[in-house]
Amino acid sequence: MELIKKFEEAARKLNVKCLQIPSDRLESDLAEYLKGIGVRSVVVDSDRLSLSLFEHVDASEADCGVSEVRWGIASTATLVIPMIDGNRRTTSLLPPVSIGLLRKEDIVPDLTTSLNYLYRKMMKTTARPSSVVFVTGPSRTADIELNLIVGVHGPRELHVVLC
Amino acid sequence: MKSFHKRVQEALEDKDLHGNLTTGTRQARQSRADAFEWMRSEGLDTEGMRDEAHRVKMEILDDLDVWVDRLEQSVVSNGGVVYRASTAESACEYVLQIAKDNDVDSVVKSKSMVTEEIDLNERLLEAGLDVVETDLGEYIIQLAGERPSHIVAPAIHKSLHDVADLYHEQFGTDRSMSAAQLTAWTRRRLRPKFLDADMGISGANFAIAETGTLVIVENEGNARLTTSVPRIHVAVTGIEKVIRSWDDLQALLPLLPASATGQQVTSYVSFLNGPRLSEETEGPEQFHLILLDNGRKEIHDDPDFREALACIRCGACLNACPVYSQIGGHAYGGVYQGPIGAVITPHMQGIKVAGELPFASSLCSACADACPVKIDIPTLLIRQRDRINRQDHSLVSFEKWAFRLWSWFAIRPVIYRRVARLVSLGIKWKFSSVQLERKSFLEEWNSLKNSKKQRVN
Repeated sequence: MELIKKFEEAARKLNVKCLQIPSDRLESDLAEYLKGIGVRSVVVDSDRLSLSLFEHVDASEADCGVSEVRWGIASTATLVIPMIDGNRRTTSLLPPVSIGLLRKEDIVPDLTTSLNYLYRKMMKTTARPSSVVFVTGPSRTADIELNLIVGVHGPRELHVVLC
Repeated sequence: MKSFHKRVQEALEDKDLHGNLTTGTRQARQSRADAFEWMRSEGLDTEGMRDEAHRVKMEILDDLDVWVDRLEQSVVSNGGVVYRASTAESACEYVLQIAKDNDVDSVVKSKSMVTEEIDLNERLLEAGLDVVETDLGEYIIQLAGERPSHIVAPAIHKSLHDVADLYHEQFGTDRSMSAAQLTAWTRRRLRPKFLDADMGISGANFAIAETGTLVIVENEGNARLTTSVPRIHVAVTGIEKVIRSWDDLQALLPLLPASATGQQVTSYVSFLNGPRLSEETEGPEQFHLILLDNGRKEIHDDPDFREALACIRCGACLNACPVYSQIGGHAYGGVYQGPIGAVITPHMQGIKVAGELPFASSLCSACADACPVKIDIPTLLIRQRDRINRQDHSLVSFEKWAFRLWSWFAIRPVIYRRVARLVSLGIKWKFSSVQLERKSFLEEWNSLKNSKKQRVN
């Protein structure tokens, strides 16, 4: 699909690893992937995964946080993570490695569409989430001599699982 | 505070500053240009976007009171508390009161120019609270005891060596640390501060009246941490940051990172609707929004300057400005620097202190070209100059007297011509080594006129 390709291309530019995993192999393939990148402890905000072979700890101690992404933006490889349905703020924020689980069909073309979507789906109603975050790549800064440094207060690495 | 002239002189003599600024602003200009070029390649009408952004902002300003009221209602119905602070003093007092009422000992702060404006850190420190800036650039200048020198990149005036030396002085770290090492060191040092803080203070880039939503853009993750981990979140922002709806956000948000850092979108954009919901285990228990006036109403009510409140604090005008890139932010002597700083600082600090700023410009309009909301900064600068000149205590009294002297002669043409003749003879004598025309223009003209008369006759 066009949008998936665009998303992957934008992700590549940000050094965000994208991997496609069929949904029936999510548990096994993701576990293997995480082992491969040296993850031993996790914090997981997803009903679809148990990741039972890993140590489950607090976000402040975990090597890796796994979050459910509600939808993605193709042009910028942005992940939209609302703090509802068990998603917690620190899962995608404290651990050095962040994993986002994104359904392939949940990708919108651009930022404007995403804002529109966010408003209509979640913000318009008075029962709105307390917080939603758009995540684009790992944390970064250019505050010292405008040198781009990746990995500041938020995660150093972001991986997106397209499933 | 040293005089503006002195500050400028010192800045111009600082070779290192010059190097850092030139490189920094050039890179920022290039990034912005690249970002806008990319948008156009995606089929976006960037000029149309700027026009739309301007229109949106001016419409909001037309009914500012209405939208601020609406914002307050929405935030309150989300479970937040709103405080309208008319002065810097009252804003600080309010924060101190919340801190006192809630046994707050330690505070983490994410980037907020408004909190610089009201000297909040100073007040909190005086009251015995532990306050730490968490944005890397702000942390650096907090360590150095300085003010930010740029709206977006507060430590742009410092080189890597400056920062490494600073860390060495403060913490005994190695002077040869790289930017990556300094950043990693800062991450480790500040992480426990986030986790232990009682209160997080942030700014806001936009405040949406319809839904009471605060929008915060950032790259480091410190604003997310500041607004998620501590049990109390206090957001401080100017009243002019209010927008009406998510349509307005669509018009404004895409222009902000592109203009500020050349990004299509920052690493994180947070949309905050107040305290945590009852089913949540994380997020602030209390949310306070302080809406600051501190002279903004005055600027708003002045039709000549209302446009200045359209500013979305992107810093593009600073990066474009040839004056800023020569003298840097500190020479402006205020919280806000560059072209927009030159417009609003005289309002905020008074013309006695800041009256020279609007004159320190060649009106080249690079700022107006860079501004995402198309604020006509050069016109605002001219209006400022006009205001300042009309005051009795003109700061440019030398100019005033020089013109008075000239006009005394100018309305007496015979005396003027005689004096001009003497002056030109004096110049020829003084600069006799330079090849000057033997006759002055007027002499040539007169002899030509006379010879014409003779021919006609």
